[in-house]
Amino acid sequence: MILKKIDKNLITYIIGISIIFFLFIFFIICAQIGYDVKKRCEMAQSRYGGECVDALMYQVADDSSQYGKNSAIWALGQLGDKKALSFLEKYDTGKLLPKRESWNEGISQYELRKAIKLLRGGFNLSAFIWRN
Amino acid sequence: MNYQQFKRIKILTTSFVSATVAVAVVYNNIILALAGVIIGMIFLFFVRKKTKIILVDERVQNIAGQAARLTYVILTMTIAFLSLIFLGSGRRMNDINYETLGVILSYTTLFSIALYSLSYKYISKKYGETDDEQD
Repeated sequence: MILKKIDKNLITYIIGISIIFFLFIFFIICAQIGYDVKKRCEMAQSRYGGECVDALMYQVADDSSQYGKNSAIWALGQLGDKKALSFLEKYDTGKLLPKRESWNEGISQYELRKAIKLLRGGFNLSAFIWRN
Repeated sequence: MNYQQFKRIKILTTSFVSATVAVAVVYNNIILALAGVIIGMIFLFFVRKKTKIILVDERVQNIAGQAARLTYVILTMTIAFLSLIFLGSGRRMNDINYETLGVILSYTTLFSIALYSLSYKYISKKYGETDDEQD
């Protein structure tokens, strides 16, 4: 009875607006992720040179500085280049994680496993948007 | 209350709201800003109810509609044009800042077009357009 009184056209409009708004926010977030990944690449390349993936791997391997290692691991996961898979697997301690570690305490196993999962072919919708 | 009186009260209320928001910004007090705006809106709502003359006639609505349409066209075209410039220069100079700005502006253009189309469809249906009329 109540549903009959509600304007169908208005409901369709509100649903449509919500979908469009959701898609807009989603695409903006994807663009932001893409920007972050490219920025990490640029920073690593300016320091270590070479291709983006190689520079990021150098950054993870560089023990002279702990700064930016986890963001480099995150970027490697987002880029999805398989050549980083065996490299990242070396850093996996295999220990159970009680909780997500802080990014300031060396390499985060949580971030590392997330990146490995993506490199093994895990679904990454945002990367599909910003890479193409 | 005649139209001139209504206009005067509207200007006074707007000045009051602007002053309250300015004071709120200076003292970094968001509650004061919100209270000022809400009180202003409620006050204007009651004043509008008391006004016996027709404030918004068809002519005003038509002007507002045309102005909104013109604003939409100019704004969307400007954003689309800017997005193309930023995307092009970003790719050419290999600058990700420009490129991302271009991408975001492109999405904003698409969002604006989609929103306009949906609103147009809704309003035209509301005023009795059938599917046959569109074809």
